[in-house]
Amino acid sequence: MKNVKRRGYGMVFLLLLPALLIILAFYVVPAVLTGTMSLTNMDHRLSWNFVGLQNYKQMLQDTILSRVFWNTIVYVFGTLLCFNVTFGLLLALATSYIAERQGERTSMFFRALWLLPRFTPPIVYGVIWLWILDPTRNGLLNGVLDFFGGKPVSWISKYPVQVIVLTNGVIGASFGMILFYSAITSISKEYNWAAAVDGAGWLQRIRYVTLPLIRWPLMFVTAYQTLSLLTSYEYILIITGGGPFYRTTVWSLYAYNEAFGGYYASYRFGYATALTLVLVVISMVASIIYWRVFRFREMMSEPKIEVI
Amino acid sequence: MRTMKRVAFLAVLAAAVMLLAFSFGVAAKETITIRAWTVGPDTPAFHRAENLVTAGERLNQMLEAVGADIRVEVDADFWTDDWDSFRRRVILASEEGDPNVVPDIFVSSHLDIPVWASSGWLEPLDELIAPYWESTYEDFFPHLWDSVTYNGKVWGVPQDIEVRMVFYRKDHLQALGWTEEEIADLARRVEEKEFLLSDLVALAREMRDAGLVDYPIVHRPTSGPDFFQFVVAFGGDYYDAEADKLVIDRAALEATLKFFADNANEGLTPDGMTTWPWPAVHRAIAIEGTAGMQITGGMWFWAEWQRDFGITEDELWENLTWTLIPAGNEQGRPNQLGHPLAYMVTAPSRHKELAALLITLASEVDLNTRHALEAAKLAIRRSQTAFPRFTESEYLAEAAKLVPHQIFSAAHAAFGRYTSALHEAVGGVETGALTPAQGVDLIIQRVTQAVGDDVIIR
Amino acid sequence: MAQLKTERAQLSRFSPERLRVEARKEKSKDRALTVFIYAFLIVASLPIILGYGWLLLNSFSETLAYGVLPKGWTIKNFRFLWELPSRYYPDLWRTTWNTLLLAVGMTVIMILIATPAAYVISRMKFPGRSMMLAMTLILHSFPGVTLLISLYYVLRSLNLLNSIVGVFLVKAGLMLPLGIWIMKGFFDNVSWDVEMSGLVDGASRLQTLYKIVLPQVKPGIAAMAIFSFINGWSEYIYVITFIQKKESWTLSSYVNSIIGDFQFIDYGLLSATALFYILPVLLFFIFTQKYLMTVTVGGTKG
Repeated sequence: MKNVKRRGYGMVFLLLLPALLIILAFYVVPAVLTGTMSLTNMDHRLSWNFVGLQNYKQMLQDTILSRVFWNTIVYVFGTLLCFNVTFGLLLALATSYIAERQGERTSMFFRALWLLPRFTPPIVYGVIWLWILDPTRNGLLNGVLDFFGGKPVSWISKYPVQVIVLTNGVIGASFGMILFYSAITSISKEYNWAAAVDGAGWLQRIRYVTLPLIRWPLMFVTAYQTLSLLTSYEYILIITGGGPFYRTTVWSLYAYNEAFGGYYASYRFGYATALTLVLVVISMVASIIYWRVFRFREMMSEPKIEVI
Repeated sequence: MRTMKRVAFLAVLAAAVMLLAFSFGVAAKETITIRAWTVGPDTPAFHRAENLVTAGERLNQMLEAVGADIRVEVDADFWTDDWDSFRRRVILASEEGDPNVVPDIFVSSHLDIPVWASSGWLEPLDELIAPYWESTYEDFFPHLWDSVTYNGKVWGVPQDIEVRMVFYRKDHLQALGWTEEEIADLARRVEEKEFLLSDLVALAREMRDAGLVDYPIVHRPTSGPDFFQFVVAFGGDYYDAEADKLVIDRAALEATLKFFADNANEGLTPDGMTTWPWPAVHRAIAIEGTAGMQITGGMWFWAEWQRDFGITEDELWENLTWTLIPAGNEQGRPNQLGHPLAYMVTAPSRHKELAALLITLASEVDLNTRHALEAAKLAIRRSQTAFPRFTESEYLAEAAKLVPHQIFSAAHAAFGRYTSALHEAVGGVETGALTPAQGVDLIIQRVTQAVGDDVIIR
Repeated sequence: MAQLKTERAQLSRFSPERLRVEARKEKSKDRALTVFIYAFLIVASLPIILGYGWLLLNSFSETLAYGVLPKGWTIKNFRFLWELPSRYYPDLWRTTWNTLLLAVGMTVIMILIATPAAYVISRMKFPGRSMMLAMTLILHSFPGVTLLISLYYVLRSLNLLNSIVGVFLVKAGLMLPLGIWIMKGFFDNVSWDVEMSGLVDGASRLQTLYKIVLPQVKPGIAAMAIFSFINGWSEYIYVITFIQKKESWTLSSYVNSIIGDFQFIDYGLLSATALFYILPVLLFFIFTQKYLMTVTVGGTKG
């Protein structure tokens, strides 16, 4: 009996080994290094001068930081609720409806359309939005306004937060859309037939059958995308650059700017990694909360027999 | 006199070449590869790399003429992504110090010299360029050497220089009733402090009231040293070279921020100016004329406007004129900022003398002129201004008139932080998030974060 | 008698009259809903349609009037296909090959490594199992850019700087947790019984994995392959930072160089190059998207 168990563990180890090695080398080790960096005042000399908690003390004195914190909260939950989860779900529902009634092609067209922003190099995506939001008459929105006799509006400086939520949301929605779509379409036909026979229309079917059955993907997307949003800064950097005077600077962008941003980057790697570490702690807290509230542990128990 | 210098130069060159050939042995045909990293990021500036390659070719011709069995190959990279990526590359490679990775030559902004030299990544050039001083480097405009000197040593050879200026739309000036003579006289009036920043603002108001433009005054949206031109225009200073400390001049900074704030409040400058994408600014001033004045223009725009927007030079001459940045008050003076780039030799390089030689050859008048013409930059050598191809360019000749009033960015490692802080403050006062006084406090906070107490605050 | 009455009452629900009326009501309700859904999708997708349409128009026009209307139809923007934008650009096809290498390399690693790992996590009980899955979420909270410096150290010590191999190893490392989670969802879907019967028949655990279980999770493997390929093809920041040699560039560095520091943009060339970059992966998605349909993260309860 013991032999079997040891052999079992041996095989576990073997199959897991490559994954563990790669994740260890390219994820865990850099993460630990980054954490250690936060205890130094490393700059462009890349020297490990340990200064203890000085960076963290400096954070407490940084006056901009509280504003950045609130920006981050608004941005993450705004985008999450409006786009990543809600819109993703709406898109999945809509395209699955069309797939049912009209056929694959149209549905696939819309899904491919919404995935397009994800494949696009960030800079090109930024260029497109900068055109849409251009403050002069040459932009799409202002061009339309101009056509109707209005004056151009400087969208990015007037509605910076809405802009970053919208531009990131358009990308974020596609992740949820894909996951939800496959979850919806994998609900066994029998459920749908039963509902139809009972006289339920499509809307009622969604409410009573579909949504409860895709509870898990919904929660997973919420949790995972919260973390993705907390660490995303690329598109904000390209489109608003942190906004008119820090209005759209989120925590991760602030950390990036400390490391690489500005006219002549300050290369304050020590401080930037300290900021990142705080972000990681916030993410971990969020993950734990999600873990408990959504009861992910239940997913970890005996592998369920899923509905296919 | 010139030919004698020329002969002297060739003699020294031949001697150097023979020394090289001797030291490497004349038996086998050997190739030395010299690597260089250069950056634009503007595309027309590719001669920064090209000149080094041509220098290598010319050197090979000489080596062949001498009968040496050694050749030099120049492997020059020209990067057009952005300063950020380029600097990151340099840092990551230089920190390692591996001569196989780090190139022999960098071409980069003179602003990098304080940072890179103090990190020990560059080789001081005083002795390396001494052999060629009389024949080549003495010809350089003397004040250029200030921009590449740090801590008493020379770390770079100036590669190019430009001027920055205020661009005005001629067509709008004419619509306001200005005659050709008046327009042509504007440059002189600015230089002699007859036309101040307050006059510029009044002009902007006229343009706005006449309904000629949507945006009377525009300026650069992104961070850059241009804003210091206004600090100097209001009589302030930003660097004490003797003490090697940054200077924060409260009065001048507040006046500068007030200038930008007032413009935004009056609607002369869009209040979201710092969020504009660059192409929109260029379009507004150069193509569409919806802007009246661009107060932080650069002379290299001329080349880029033609290249990337397809405007012809004639159209540019017809629609635009430029002057120095006008003075703001009694204490201030009209000025313009120059941002030279420089050739540098790296510390881990194994062929430092050869690198210096190549740099010298790449600084030949014809090579530098072709770069100046292509990328719209100015002459770095006095003899260049007599060079036929150079004099043919009316634009370069006109722009060169602004040179005497040139200021440079400070040769201080934390100057970048100061620049970013000033840009942040400008953005803040324009959107109304800060008052000018608060803006000055922000700048002080940022700079002291970077240098601690090592700053002079007036 | 009473039973017959109720039965008949129930059956009258399905009288032809009744059914016809119900069907008509359903149809008009249906149609209204369909119209609404289409309207929603079209309006919501407008920014994307217009934005990418603009990109498309830009690539075929010389300049744009009023920033919107193309002027001067031309294909000269596509000259980058046969002529380098400047001497300092690497060969386009070599760059494309590098991009392909990166995408495929990452995909292969993900498949070869995530699959067995996911199998183990799904099937076998061992200490630290749920901890590992929890780590997935936690590791995801490190923003990529702050790992840059540390990754530099790691790559340098492994002598993998400046190479595509280094980049796809890094990318795989960062994406493995998600890949394992997704594959685990698929493995969870394979019923125990099937596997159990294999084991009972005397096959070893490995054999059952190979012969019985794997074929059932093929859609999952395909889905993960697609995600990885798309992700690898679009990779940008690590390539820019870790790859200096122009010969090892990928298309993202190429496009980035065309944009420069964002001051002067040749929109035509940029749009043409961007389309060249996006098109392959878009086509790839269209041909393989039916596999993505089956991705779940487990949990649709029976």
